[in-house]
Parts: sequence; C-alpha cells; structure tokens
Amino acid sequence: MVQRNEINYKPFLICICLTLPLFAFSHTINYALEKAPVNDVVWFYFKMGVAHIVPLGYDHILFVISLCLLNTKFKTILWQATAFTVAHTITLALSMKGIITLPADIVEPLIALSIMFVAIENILINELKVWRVAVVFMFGLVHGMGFASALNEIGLPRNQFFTSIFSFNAGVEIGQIIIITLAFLFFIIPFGKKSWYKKAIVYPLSATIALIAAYWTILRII
Amino acid sequence: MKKKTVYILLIVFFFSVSAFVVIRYSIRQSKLRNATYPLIERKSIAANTVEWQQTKTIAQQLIDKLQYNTKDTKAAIALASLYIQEGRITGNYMYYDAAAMKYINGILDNEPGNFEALTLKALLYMSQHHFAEGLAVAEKAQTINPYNALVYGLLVDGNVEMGNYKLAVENSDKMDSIRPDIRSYARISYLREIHGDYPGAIEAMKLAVEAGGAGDEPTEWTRIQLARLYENTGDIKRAEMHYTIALNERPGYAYATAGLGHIAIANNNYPKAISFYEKAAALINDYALQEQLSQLYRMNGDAKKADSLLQNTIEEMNKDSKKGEQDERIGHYADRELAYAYLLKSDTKNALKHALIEYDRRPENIDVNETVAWVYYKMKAYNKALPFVKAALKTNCKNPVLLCHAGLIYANTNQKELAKSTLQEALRNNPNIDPELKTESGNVLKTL
Repeated sequence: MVQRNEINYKPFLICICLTLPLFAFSHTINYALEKAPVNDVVWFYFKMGVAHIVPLGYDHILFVISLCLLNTKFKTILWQATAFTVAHTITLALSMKGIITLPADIVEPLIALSIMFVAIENILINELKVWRVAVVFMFGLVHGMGFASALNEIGLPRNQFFTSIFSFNAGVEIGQIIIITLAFLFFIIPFGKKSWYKKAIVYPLSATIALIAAYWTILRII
Repeated sequence: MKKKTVYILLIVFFFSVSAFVVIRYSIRQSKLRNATYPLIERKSIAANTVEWQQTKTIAQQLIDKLQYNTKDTKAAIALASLYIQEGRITGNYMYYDAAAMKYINGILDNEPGNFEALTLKALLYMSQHHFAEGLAVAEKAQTINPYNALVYGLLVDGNVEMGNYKLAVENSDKMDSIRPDIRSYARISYLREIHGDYPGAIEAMKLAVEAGGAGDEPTEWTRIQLARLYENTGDIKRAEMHYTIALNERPGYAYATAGLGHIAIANNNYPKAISFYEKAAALINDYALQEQLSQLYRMNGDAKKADSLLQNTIEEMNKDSKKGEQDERIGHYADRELAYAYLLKSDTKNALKHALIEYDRRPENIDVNETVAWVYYKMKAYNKALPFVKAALKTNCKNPVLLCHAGLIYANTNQKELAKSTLQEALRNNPNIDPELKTESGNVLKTL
C-alpha cells in the first residue's frame, strides 16, 4: 500500500525511461573522416556547424533573433547567448556520447515551442531577469539535442570525437554571432534608441516569430 | 488583461503543450511495445500457395503463444525468423523487419548473450543497410559461438559492405569449411565476381543452385543471381533460360519476372519489358524495380509517367528511412539508392548529398565509391570522380557497368589509352546493361 508521505517517483521515472532506450545508441560513425587529417575534420565540422545556423537553421535563427529583441543592451544579449551556448554545448556532447538523448518526436516540437515562448516573452517583459536566463539555458539544452540529431546524420569519426564536436560547436557559435551581428546592424543600432522601437520593431517582429513558431509547433506535433 | 496574467497563461500553455508532446510520445511507444504484427496478405499468385496458408497458421500460433507467455524465447525466435523470411518474399522489409526487431530486442533485453537473437539482429541490421552495426553484432555473436556457419556468412556480408574484402574472403573460407551449402556457395560466387573472376563466380553460383531445393525462395533467388552473371558476361540466352526456370519453379516470382523484363530490354522490346516490370513491381515492394520501370517509361517516350513514378519512389524511400527510425529504431539507410534515383531525375545536388552520406558510412566499399564517382561524372566534375572510380576498381572487379563508368571517367580526364582498354573490356562480350550507358560508352570508344 502506498503511504501518504511517500515520494512520488513516477514523473522522474518517466523522464528516465524516455532517455534510457537510447543509452545504447551513441553517435553514428563517420568512417570516411577517420582517415582524414585533423585540419580537414576541423574544417568539415566547422562549416557544418555554421551552415546549421546560417542558412539552414531557420528555427535557431529565429530563436537567436528573439534573444536580441528583449532589449537593446549588449549585456542582455551576451548573457542570454552565453546561457544558450553553454546549455547546447552540454547536451550536444552528452547526446553524441549517447549518455542522454531525447527522440526527435519530442525535441523538434519543443524547439518550436521554445521559440514561441521567448518571442511572446519579449512582448511581455523589457528587462533581463534571472528567470529569463534560466529559461534560455533550459531551451539551450533542448536545442543542443536538435544539433545532435543533425550531427548524427553525418556521424563523427571515433578517433576525433572531441575535435569534431568542438569544431561543430565553434561553427554554431560563429553562426550565432553572424545572426547577432546582423540584428545589431539591421535594427538595434539604427533604431534601438528611437522611442517607437518597441512598438514598431520589437512587437511586430516578436509576434511574427511567435506565429511562425506556433505553426512549426503544430506541424511538428501532427 | 494584465501582463502578469498573460505571462502566467503563457507558462501554463507552454507546460501543457510540452506535457502533451511527452505523453503522446509515451503512449505511442507503449502502443508500439504492445503491438502485434499480423501477416499482411500476399499479392497475386503468391497468395494462393499452400506454403502461404501454412505460414499464416504458424504465425498465428506463435503470436498466440507469445501473448500467453511473453518470455517464450523459442517462439519469439521462430516468429522473428518467420517475419524476416516473409519480408524477403514480399519485399515489405519495413513492416516485417520492425516486427522481427521488436521480438529480437525483447529477447536480448532478458538475455543479452542469446546467440540466435544476436545473429537475427545482425541480419536485420544488414537488411536495413546498417552494415557497421550489423557487423559489430555479428562479431559479438561469433565470440559466443565460433563454430556456426551462419555467423560467418553474416561476417562475410558485413565485411563486404564495409569494404574489408580480405576479411570477407577469410570468413567465407571459414564458412565453407564448416558447412558448404547454398549460402556459402552464393557468397563465394559474389566474392569471386567482385574480384573479377566471372567463370569462377558462375561455377560457384551453379553449385549454390544445385545445393538448394527447386522452387524454394533462396534457391530461386540464387538462380536469378546466376542469370544475372550470364547477362553480365553477354550470355543472354542462358540468362533467359534461368529466369524462365525460376519462374516455372516458383510461379509469380517477382525477380524472375523482372529478369525476363531485363532480357526484353536486351532485345530492345521496351513495351514487353515494361509489361514484365509492371507485373514484378506489383508483386513485390522493391524500389530498384520501380526505378528500372521509371527508366523504361522514359526510354519508351512516356516522360510524364516516368517522372511521376520516380518522384513517388523517392518519396517512399525517404519516408521509409524516417518511419523506420521511429519504429524500433532501425530505419532503412537508402542513400545509395536515393543517389541513383536523384541522378535519374537529373538532380545531381541531392544525388551527391546522398552519395556522400553513404560514403561517410562505408568509404572502403567499392559500390559506394562507384556511386560517388558516377555522381561526380554526371556533374562533369571528372577530376573529382577519378579517385573514387579508382577506389571502386581496387578489387579488380570486371562488372561491365563499373567498367563503363570507369572508362568514361578516364576518357574525360585525358587518359585515352586506359579509357580505350577499359571500355573495350566492358563491352567485349556485349553484356546486357543499361542501353543508354552502353550507347554512350560505345560512342566514346569510337572516338578514342
């Protein structure tokens, strides 16, 4: 009989069960690159990382733009970008090692949902709060698993596992920096100080991103 | 409405949708775990055989047994084997391989060292073109029982696909020494073929045919391989004879029907070839047959029908690969097949993408190297094609299609002498290969 004060482990067990079936599956092996020189491996995964954001990663692009829309302070964007980077680096490495992985059926809708969340949040808040950094960190964990599934399509050379992960991640960072730079060039620097910046730029852009993300969420759930 | 309220609603919405996604996934997984896989009715003549009625009865008995006792390993192995065989007969690999994998994984969860389950798992991986994984599982099985011929057969297949040809030959010798039978002879034949020994390959395949019972699927499949060897060496009459025998011994056998279609291509009778291929494609779900049929429609002047079938085939292949990943996590790697399908569509960008994905998995395999080389050739990137075609020829394979590909690449990289001798060798016996490739090769040869 279950006692009243007994801890309910069920939610934790569900989480563990969702990740466990994949424990046995580590990354796909890229046999071709096992024979390649380090420079080629670094360049290959670096390019792949950049391409995964610009131009192919529409969802990641919208997420990073959303991070830039909270306010115009460089520090705000830097904090969020750092939280996002640290988080997705953790899950990318853990996923590729097969230590923790979530199925694409869960990760993909959650990525879309995360974009919608930060976009709507941009309309509701103005200042960076610890909560927002924590949320971005959490979403970064999910996005990292998305990066891992893309990387798994190509696979990794076993003898250069960390080199390839590091190069891919560096590419992703450069991709993010490109988006942030473009955000500064196109709307933060020219219009950031205008009185109508929020109403004319942040709200419509955030609403559009939220709508697109909502559409993606539905599409990925169906 | 206050911002705070909206914010709370947003959080509630976010967690609700997340929970919905997770719960829905859990329900789907649980359904998959509890799913049973009834046999799907066979098509055409294959549906009227006594063997089909017996297969259905046995399958139902095994399913009932497993529902009564989920841990009945013997029944699970028997049912998984039955599914694998049914997949081979009907070509519905996606359904039957997933079904077999469910039971195999169930056994291995309880007994990770179960030899039979490991060999079947290796077989399933190979069937889904997950060759590296299949080879790894076969190697594990071999450590448990190093005296089983079947496991050496799997090691031959895995090593061939991964391009470890020396190891493949060693394992084939071992297999033959343990148990010389239809399976070992067929593998010897293939190894001889890829090492350029067509007479030896034909001799071994004849032994394979003789070692099997006439009319059995494995025997008739072997007979089809023998006919294919004759086609490659230009002996069309003998090839036709073997396709006809296979069709007589196993009425409605799709590969025999398709084989006769291939003979009709050699005779430039495209309407007849189309009729055979349409029959074969209706009997079995095989993308290679559909690709060939699409090509035939095009050669016969029906481009619209060709495009529609090709597009459909590409979509199905992509769908299978995704569906499999969700179901029992095996997923069919069809990148090499997709590369050729995209080439037929003249979509070289996607062809290259898929060819290179497969190359990353199996950089030592000669067929994969040939695919990459041919895609580069079609992109007119002849210098890029060269190292790949050289790698494809490393076993001294004399397959006429490979030699035509190599000859054309040599011709476009200013290696006229090599191109001439390679194309001459390819076309020497007038093999029955793709007429367009044959014409192109013949025309280039005339200019050398």
